[in-house]
Amino acid sequence: MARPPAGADTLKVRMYKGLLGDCFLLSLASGAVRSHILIDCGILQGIAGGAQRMKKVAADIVAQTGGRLDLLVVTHQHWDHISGFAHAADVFLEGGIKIDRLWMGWTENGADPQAQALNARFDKAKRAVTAAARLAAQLKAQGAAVADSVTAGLEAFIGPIEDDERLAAAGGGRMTGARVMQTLKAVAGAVDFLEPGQVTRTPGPIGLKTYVLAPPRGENRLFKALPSKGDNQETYLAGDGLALADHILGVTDALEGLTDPDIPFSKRYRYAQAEVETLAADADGAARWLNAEYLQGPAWRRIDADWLGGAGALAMTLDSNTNNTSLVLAFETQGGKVLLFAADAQVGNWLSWHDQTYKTDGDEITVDALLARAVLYKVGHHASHNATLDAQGLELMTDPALAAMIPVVETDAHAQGGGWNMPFPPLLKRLMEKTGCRVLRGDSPAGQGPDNAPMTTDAAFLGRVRDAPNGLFVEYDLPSDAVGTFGPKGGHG
Amino acid sequence: MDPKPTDTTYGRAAYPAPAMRRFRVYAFDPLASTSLETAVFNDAVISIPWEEPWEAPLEVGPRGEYLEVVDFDPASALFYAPLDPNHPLLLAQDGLPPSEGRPQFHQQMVYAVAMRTIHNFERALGRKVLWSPQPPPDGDYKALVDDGFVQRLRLYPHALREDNAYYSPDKKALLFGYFRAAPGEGARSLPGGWVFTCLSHDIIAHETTHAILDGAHTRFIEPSSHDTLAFHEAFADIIALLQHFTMDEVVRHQLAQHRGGLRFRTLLTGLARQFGDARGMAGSLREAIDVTADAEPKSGAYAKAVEPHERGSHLVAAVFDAFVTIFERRSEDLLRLAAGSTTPQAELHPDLVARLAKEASKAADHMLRICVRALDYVPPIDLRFGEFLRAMITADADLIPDDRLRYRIAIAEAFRRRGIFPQGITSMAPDSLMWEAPEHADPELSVCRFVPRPPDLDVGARFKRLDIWRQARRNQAIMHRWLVDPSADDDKWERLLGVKLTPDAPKTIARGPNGRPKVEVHSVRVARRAGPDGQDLRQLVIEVNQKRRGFFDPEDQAAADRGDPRIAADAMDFEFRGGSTVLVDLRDWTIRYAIRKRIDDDRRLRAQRDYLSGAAEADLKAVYFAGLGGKGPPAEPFALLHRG
Repeated sequence: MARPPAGADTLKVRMYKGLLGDCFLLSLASGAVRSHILIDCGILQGIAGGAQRMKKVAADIVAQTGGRLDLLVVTHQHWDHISGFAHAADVFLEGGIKIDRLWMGWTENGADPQAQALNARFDKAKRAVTAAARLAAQLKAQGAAVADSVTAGLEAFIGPIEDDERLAAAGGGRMTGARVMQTLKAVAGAVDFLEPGQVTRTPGPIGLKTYVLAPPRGENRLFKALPSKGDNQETYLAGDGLALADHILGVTDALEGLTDPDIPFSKRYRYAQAEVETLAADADGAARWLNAEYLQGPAWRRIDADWLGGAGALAMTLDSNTNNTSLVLAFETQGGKVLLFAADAQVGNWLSWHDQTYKTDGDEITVDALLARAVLYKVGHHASHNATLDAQGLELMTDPALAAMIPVVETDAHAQGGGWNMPFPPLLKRLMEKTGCRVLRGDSPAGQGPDNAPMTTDAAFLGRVRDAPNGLFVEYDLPSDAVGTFGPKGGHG
Repeated sequence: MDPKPTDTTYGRAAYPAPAMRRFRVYAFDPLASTSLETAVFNDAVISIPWEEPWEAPLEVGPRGEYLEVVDFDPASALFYAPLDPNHPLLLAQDGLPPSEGRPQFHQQMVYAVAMRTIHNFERALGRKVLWSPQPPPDGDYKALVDDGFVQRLRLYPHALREDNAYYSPDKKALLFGYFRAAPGEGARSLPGGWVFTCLSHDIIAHETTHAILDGAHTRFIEPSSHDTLAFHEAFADIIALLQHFTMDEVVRHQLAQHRGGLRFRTLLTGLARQFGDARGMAGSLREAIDVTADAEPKSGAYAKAVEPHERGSHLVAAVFDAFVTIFERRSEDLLRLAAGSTTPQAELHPDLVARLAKEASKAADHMLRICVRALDYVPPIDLRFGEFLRAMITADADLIPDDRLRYRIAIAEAFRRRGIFPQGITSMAPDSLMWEAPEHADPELSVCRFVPRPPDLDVGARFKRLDIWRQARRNQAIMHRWLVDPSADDDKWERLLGVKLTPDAPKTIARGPNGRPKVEVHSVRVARRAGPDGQDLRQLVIEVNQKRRGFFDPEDQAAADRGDPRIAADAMDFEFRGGSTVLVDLRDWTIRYAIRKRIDDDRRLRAQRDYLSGAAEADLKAVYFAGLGGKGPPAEPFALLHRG
């Protein structure tokens, strides 16, 4: 194949910065022809100035694209990937920008039976977590000692909780993740739900061949957040926490008077909490003893909210399961190079990329071949510890031109309940090694680390990187030999 | 008028106090009462010593010297009336009869089993069980009364509505859950029936052991290697398992069924059967027997296991294997005697079964004591299974020099078969496994002696637990002063103790007001033990440890160790500890052992760094809840562990 003249066609990847969340704009240009692809648009819940920042991002996207997206990719239903659509609803949900086509994973297809079952499970877990978080907040308001671990990070990742379902049904209330997804599907010109193993092409006048690596169909992959722990790990694990969700929902329904409380002991053994608290004049010795021992006893030994602690574990499970529904795409340039957008894929999702081969032009390739040609890696899950596989992932990315983009704000991550270790230091170190320090972060100027220490002196690389003067984004021009020459408009594979 | 059972007189002469208090319990759990075969022995009675005059009397709750049951069910917004253990109707019938539907029976069982576990520990340890101190409110240690002495562990029998139970180090409480069974195919539990973790002997004993172990070794909660949390789990399982063999009727029944053999998976070798059954597992939650009959255990399985319960199961299997070997040795003569008068098909004679049961319970008791005694012979931090093996062997050899029945070989052999090896030993022979006296390893260390004795150190006998606590705290302060006081031999003490005492220590070790490195003396205790041949062992156990700031990046580590100003003085990625357990023979005040983990051991530092980096992969919760890197243990370390 003849080399195209350098600089003819371009492919720019704009990462919006200052977000603990993902928002990437890909701009393809060939002469006067342009195509724009937006991948996710979100910031974590509860970060000061988040909504304002997302509005600025949206305005920049409109300006950059002339108000039209050839393709919008929404990887999964987590607030830090979709909140921008809600914060800038006028742009994304109310026609401010034209979305020609929308790509989502099969998990978002309401007509897909497996997706329905999956989402029913998620919904139940989410309702249980929501109920638990609300109860914990109530208890806290009443002065009970509620460990942060019970509620920490629950809402942040899930997004605003549907706190009044009737209000939401009537179109009021806060914008939730589910409603953002629904609305996007409605306003997009067309929607594709992608399948693992599919090979397609991004729409628009110029496009990129696209390999769909995930979300997987296999439940063993979807529900696997962590590496295997040994052959009999099932012995110790209590499923996916759905039984716990049932417990919590049963309990909260009973507390709200929706169902009869499910109590194993007959009435003659029970002393209502209120009865022990108020202690009527004729209260018996048992009630008095309980009042003195528990209510008047040392506060640090009380357990009012501890039973909700299981909700924290449930939320973790829910969170990583949702991450595993991430739509993961590998875009191939005409130069034969690959851009890998891993969304928030966790272990099971990564492993599943190897479960299938990818049929293209009568050829059949494995994901290893794609990873070997990766020149840009959008680091999974803000570079957390379990969202970049080593031997079956990063170590397979061997192209000498590899660069990485990490959408992260370290200080925001550390400020989360319990402190999220993002980027995970050992991973960051390995990324620096693998890329020759060509790592762009969402929280520091291009070519520098958050402490302003220079990260790379690769002049050729730095020459292709631009920071927005206002710090809104960093843009990376892929090397022209990697981009190649865009062919004529392609179909949708 | 109601007679008050606490009145000991009627007329002039006092009635004698009974020797024991008796409480009815399920030998295993309610499930065992639903099958004809096991129901016969599932109604058991636990006897615990009647309170001594200097102990708190047992009262409504039950609330006694060590424990208080408070039956609050927050998820249901209900309290359940406390049990009055002194009511004449209950005293006359060994407490309430077993009943799943009566919460007061739950209180009784949880109290009785926990007390028995405490009692077993005290017999083996030769001193009183103390709970770990109350956490200081807002970090203010001065706000604590008596340095945070906690007299009673709290038991909440109905604290959670989930298939979980855990020890809360912050609340000094055991929280038990209950849930509806979701049994799998072929299970015995009633689908949708209630399961109470507070009615499982094994779960109660397991959680109580967590609390006791935390009281003795607070630092064992800190995850510094795969072995640390796994040890907590394994040890708790070992105690629960070996306590099965104190129930004579059960043991006899099972021995009769298996013709005197114990290498079969039975009720005795399984843990928390109802719990496992109700969660849809085939059989028990965990099993003590990893291989049946003559098969060899899978070598290398231990090295690969990282999940705490799973990794711990290899230690449990090793200890159980050793126990069975000892039992077989103790009972082989009986079986030989009986062999002539019986055919292989015939049932064993009940007298023989009774004698075998006696040997089994004796062997279990010995094993339990060996394990518990070993706790005084382990390093104070970062414990590895291999070190526990060395501790078992040394502790046993100290008390029982003449190992006629070759217990120690049986133990070493069982560990070897599972690939659990200590580091840096020449062989797995018991004498190489013993800890060395410090001057054997390094003759220069013979100058390290407590001569003259640290002034005011008080090693007199105390009986009340609060007095013991106060004595220990005073002794800690005295020993601390003595250690940090500069001496000409500080370099040798450093080597002996594995901590830094001199000003040239790495800058990552915090300095005290005198500019010298801070050291913590976190335990000084007196242990007395009597051996079978009248040996009287009196030891002082001193635990010393020190903190050093650890970094994931070795260059940062080196810079911080140098005191490079580019690294903030309080920055760190994780806490690294070093220190030692020093055993002093109180007869002549010589140092018998200094079991140490050096603070300046960079290989160990690297191992911990690798573990913490890798552990992140193995435990998502570490990231979300704790801030990875062990900057501190998570709020409820055992709750997470048990929630899987």
